[in-house]
Amino acid sequence: MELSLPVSSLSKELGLMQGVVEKRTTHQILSNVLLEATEARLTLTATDLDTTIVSELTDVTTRTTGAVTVPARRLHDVVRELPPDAEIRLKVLENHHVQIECKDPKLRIRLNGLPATDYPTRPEAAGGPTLTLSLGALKRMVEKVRFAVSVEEMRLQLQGALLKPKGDSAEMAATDGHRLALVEVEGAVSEPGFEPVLVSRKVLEELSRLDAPPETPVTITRGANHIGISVGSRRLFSKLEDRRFPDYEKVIGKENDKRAVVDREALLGAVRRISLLSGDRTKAVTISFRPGAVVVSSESQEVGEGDQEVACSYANDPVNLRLNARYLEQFLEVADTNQVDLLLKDESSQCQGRPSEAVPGLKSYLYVVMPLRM
Amino acid sequence: MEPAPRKIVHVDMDAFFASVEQRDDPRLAGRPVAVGGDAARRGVVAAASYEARRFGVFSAMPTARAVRLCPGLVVVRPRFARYKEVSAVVFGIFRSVTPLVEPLSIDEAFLDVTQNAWGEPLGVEVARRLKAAVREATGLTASAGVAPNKFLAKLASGWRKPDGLTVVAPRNLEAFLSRLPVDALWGVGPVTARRLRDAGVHRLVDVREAPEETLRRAVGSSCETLRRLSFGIDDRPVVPDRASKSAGAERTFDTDLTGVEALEEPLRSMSGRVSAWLGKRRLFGRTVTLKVRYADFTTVTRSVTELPAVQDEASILERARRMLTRTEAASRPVRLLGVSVHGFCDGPDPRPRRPSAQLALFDPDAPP
Repeated sequence: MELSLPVSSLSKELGLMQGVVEKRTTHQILSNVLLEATEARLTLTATDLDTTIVSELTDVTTRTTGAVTVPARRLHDVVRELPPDAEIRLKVLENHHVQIECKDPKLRIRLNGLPATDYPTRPEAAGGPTLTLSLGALKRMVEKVRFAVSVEEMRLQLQGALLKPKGDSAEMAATDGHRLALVEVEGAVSEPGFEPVLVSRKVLEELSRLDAPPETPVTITRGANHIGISVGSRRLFSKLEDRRFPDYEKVIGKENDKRAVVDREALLGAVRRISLLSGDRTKAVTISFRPGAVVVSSESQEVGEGDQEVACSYANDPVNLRLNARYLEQFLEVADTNQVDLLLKDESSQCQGRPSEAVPGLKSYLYVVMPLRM
Repeated sequence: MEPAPRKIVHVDMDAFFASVEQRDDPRLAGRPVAVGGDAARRGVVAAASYEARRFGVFSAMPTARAVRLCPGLVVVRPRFARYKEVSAVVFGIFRSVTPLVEPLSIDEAFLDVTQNAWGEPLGVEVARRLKAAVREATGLTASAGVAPNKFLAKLASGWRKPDGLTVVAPRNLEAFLSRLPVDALWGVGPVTARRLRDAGVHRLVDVREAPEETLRRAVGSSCETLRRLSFGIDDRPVVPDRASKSAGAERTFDTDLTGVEALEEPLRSMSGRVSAWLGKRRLFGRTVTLKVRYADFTTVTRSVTELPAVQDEASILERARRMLTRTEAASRPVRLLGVSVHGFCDGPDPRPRRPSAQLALFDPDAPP
């Protein structure tokens, strides 16, 4: 294998690969990236056996075809240190050594590789039903729910977001048992038979890092054993897990009839400031809804106390809620509108949040969060 | 009013692995012994007897080099299972005196004996009796340090070895500290020590006068801790059984036992010991494991994990008996029997977990 290509394109793809490559692995080859050169392209593959990312680069000049694997991290570190507009030449030597050559700066590096034949076979999703939408819409869904994905290792069924086709839109839900984020975007086309699928946290992270124009079409294929997500010249694969996501629609309360309309950034600022005074790990703040105002307050014996008032439109009986500040912040950070609705029932029931106005392209966005015990 | 000073004992077994070997095999007594890997296979010394140390043989040294230094050296392969058995006896003695036993390794522990089962008012008396009890039960010697805190107790036990007993009392504290080099400080390794020496800090007590800047450069953010230690101040509590993930008892029989009836009594007494250990710590366990070693040394284990989690002797015994029927103990002679409990939790039914202030949206563990 021998080929040359611009540093910038290789560097960008290797950057994406880092999120998938195993850092501490017992299989050394899983920390490597697979490089396969054909006449017209260089294909890069990284996998941790659960998640696989494949990128194809066409701005390459291939002298001889072939394949090899090299440590992904190391190669990325080397390439990153080169001027982005430089050209580099990759050449496989004997014993799977890979030589990296650059003319300006005049540099030659040899990395130890491993044979491409030892690399795991690439997963396949082709043939299954598909769901198609724009990258912008997909990334928007991911952004709105990603923070609610569970981090508890035992809760495998909650370690991802559920993607579900819904007529000409698509819905994504994530929950960790304390809160639920549910978003629906317009402009999705799905084939019959596309059952809801759990998208793992790693894939969600990769998707949010993908940089390509928002109008780029994304095709998600629900294969027999894997889902495949294809975005331009990149493809992501994730093992299809048979895990039952909770029936989240059931937990959305119907009795939250007290409505407050609050300036999103003003409330976010207040929660951030006041939560600094919270002494415990959950960063509890008390949100007191009064006619005309919401007061964010916190007091702890170790640290001190404080409160901030934020104007809001609220005309119901006063309600006090104790909330994990971070849980509220994460919703306020990604709700697009200037104002948000907070719907309440009482101090021990869920609080629901949603944008106050319609957002183009966004059919709905709902956040449900349970309070802390008063 | 200031709280009464604590009485902390640090006990360190003398050349533990090597001493166990010398005791188990009288031919090794008085000879230089190293426990470790084969010289031909690039092994290293895990422990050296005092006879071997005189030749400059120390742990972590390649065995090949140790043999060159000490031509008469007897190199013995380590038998960790055996050391564990002996260690269990030693720690059993420690725990019979106080529940506040913090193991540092298989042969070393801190004991807070401010309150102790013997009712001894003096820490030094507790240490003397501990050493005697260990010697009586195992034939091994230990070195002990007695002091008002962990830092000083550990320094004290290292002061005189083997078979030492050193007390750092408030009145001889200054004299003791002033004799120590700066490397004696907890957290000061060779590199830091060199940096400190370069800055003129040679003795531990020099740390007190050293400029803030000098200390910070040498040890970074821990300079405050270091300064406190240089005055002999250390408030760290003795944390019992930090790493304990299981409680177990084992017994090797003098003569092999045959038949389930013969095993009943040992099974009961071991269940009782495990139960007492759990009870003292208010722990329950979900899993009970039975270990059976037959006369020919083949060993099998059987485990059962179920709720309610167990703590009392009867429940542990009941599960152990049940597992015994899943072995060949009825027909084969048994050399060793062990009962252990793991999967610790706070109560018999751990489902209602520690109540969290965070209310749940749904039960994530409920079937959908």
